[in-house]
Amino acid sequence: MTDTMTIALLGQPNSGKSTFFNALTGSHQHVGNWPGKTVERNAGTFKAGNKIYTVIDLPGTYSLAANSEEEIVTRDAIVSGDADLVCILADASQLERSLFMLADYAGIRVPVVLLLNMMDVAQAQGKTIDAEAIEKNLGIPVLPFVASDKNGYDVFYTLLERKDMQNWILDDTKLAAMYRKELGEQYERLGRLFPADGIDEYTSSWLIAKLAELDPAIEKLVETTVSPENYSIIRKELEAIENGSSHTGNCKFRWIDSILEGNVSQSNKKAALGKFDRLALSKRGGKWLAAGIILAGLIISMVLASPIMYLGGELPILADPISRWFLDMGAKPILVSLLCDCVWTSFCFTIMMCGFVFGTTFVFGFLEEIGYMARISYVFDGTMRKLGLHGKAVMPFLVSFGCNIAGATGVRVLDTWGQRMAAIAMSWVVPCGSTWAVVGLISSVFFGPGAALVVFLLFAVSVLHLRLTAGIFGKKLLTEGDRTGLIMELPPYHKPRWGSLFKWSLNKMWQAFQRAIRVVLVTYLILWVFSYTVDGNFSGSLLYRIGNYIEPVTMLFGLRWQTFIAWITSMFGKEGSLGAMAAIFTNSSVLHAITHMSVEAADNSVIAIALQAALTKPEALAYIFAFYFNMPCVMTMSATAHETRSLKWTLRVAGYYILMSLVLAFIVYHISSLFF
Amino acid sequence: MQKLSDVKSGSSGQVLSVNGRTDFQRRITAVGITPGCRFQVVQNEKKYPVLLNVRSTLLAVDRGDCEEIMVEVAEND
Repeated sequence: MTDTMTIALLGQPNSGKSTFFNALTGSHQHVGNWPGKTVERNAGTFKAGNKIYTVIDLPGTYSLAANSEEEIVTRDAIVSGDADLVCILADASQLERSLFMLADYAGIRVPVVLLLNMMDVAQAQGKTIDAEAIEKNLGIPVLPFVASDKNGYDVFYTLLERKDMQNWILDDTKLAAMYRKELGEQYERLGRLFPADGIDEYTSSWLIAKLAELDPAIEKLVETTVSPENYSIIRKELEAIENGSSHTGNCKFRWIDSILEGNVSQSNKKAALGKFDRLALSKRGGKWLAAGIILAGLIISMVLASPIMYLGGELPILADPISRWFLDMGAKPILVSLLCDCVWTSFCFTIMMCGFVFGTTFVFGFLEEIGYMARISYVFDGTMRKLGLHGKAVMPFLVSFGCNIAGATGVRVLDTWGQRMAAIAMSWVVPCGSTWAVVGLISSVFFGPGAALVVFLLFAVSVLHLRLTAGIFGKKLLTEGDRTGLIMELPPYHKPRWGSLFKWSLNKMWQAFQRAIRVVLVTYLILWVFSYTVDGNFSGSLLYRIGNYIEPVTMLFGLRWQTFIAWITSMFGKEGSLGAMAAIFTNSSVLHAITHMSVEAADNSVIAIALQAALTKPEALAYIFAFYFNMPCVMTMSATAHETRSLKWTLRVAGYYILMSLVLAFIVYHISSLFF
Repeated sequence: MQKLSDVKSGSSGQVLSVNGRTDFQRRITAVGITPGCRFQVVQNEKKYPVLLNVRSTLLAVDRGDCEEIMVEVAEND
């Protein structure tokens, strides 16, 4: 008898799987990635009786078909032999549809139990479900369950103590008979071509159904198992199949009906939209309501971010006493500068950025969890379709208004790699919170009330930019298979679980921090080397000399050497740009200023005067455009590379944005020079 | 027989067949739309996905995709 056991949780989205996972494992969780995949892997442990259990939270998918990376990961994890028991969660309030996962599972010979989750919701809807009768029909344990109520978990723990787990194999004889009837002679012919006992954990009828669904991964599995002659016959058989998924899907639901028949009583209430949904989904008001809620959400996310940003902004103050202390101890000034200006500053800066990540992740996580995000996706589906994407892709765009780093991680809801990469590439044009801080200041310094016009112009050009980006990258990234339309469940509204939402957002922030700190350190090190001077005067630095030397070239784009350097630093972090400019104009340490700037708002008037003295209006406009359309920070870049697993495409997109920002600066500078 | 994309808001009926690309068929099957299943169109506005109720679930399905789903609308609804 072993004292450890591994349980894999399987269920459709909105089946309450994560609630169950969080309740089971509490704080003993480990978030990572599936080896070689961009799919998140959540695992955790818990103790019950005298056993330690490992729980793997499989990705929430609607089936075990090979439509997406998530589904392939899920299937591989089940048959890999890692899991001793699979635990399928079904939503009792939508039992018929929810059991599709179980039907798709039937034929995989790994022990399984079924949890009928959200029994309380089903009861409130007036449904009664006879779990015992369902258990008898299925031949595996079936538990009526409420995952959000921890008091009821004992039945689950007791179940795990049972000794007959090896027998909990879901019998697929009845389903196989349905496949045979539906597919006719073809079923028999296919069945004769490979082992009657199936392959690995799959029964032969499961394999036939998946072949009929033209599942590429299963075709490959069969190809490597059977003889080449048999495989070529199988291929020919498959070519004759039409609408295979419809046929097998039909069987699966008939099988579900046969399991549920007489065991579920429904109330005959006609489905209609609730009061809120009538507005949230309406043609007239839906978009406006969504825009209002998103705006409010962004404001709230900034409020949530502010304590962390304050911390990151205040910590640099410690740099002075620390460096003085080191100098008093006799440390070399260059090392002290490296430590305080570079290492410490990048640490503080990363903390500041993480505030944004936390705030936006929390707010949009909230909208997702209560079920409103799906409504937003519905109303903006048309807009997204113009970009070659669909409604679910709206998330990264919205989140990017707060923070592009968090935006890049919002693409996981999309099905294919091409969609994810394209959505991120396009969402980079969305200006984040800190972009506005800089644009607002500079445009109001130079144009007063005309700043509104500048903002309008920026928006108009953004739309054109987005169209162009969609054209260029959409063509390359969105192949025929990536251009899928929206198929989305609009879940009933849920109450948020604040605790787990908070923990989840902190976790995301921590992940972002770990990734970002390395990138920021390296880039700051480069910036430090170029801007280091012995006496702290900027005019002695390499950056100053290079900047002056290449000014004739940068002036083509309307960028003076100061604004050119500010433009370069905006790649390290958008609000850093303002600090860099302040430092250059006040002739002090650039790096130090980058983090100080956002705190010492009083300096804004100093910058304002210095800016007006140094730049003409066309030059200011050129800078605003170059800055606004420049790629988002390096942290967004690293998040993008991480999410898409493609450094090549990330760099391509970055190069494109850098180039475009200079092109736009060039155009704006030369046109506006005619007027001012 | 008509396309699901042409069914008016409030009407209900039965799905006859699901055509289109294999990956579309797999996806749409997994959310519960199969030949023979009953549905009710909750909202069908131009330029928006079709909102429908299938197996007690509210679904939004792309208009273009709904052209691949052939249905029969019940008369007295």
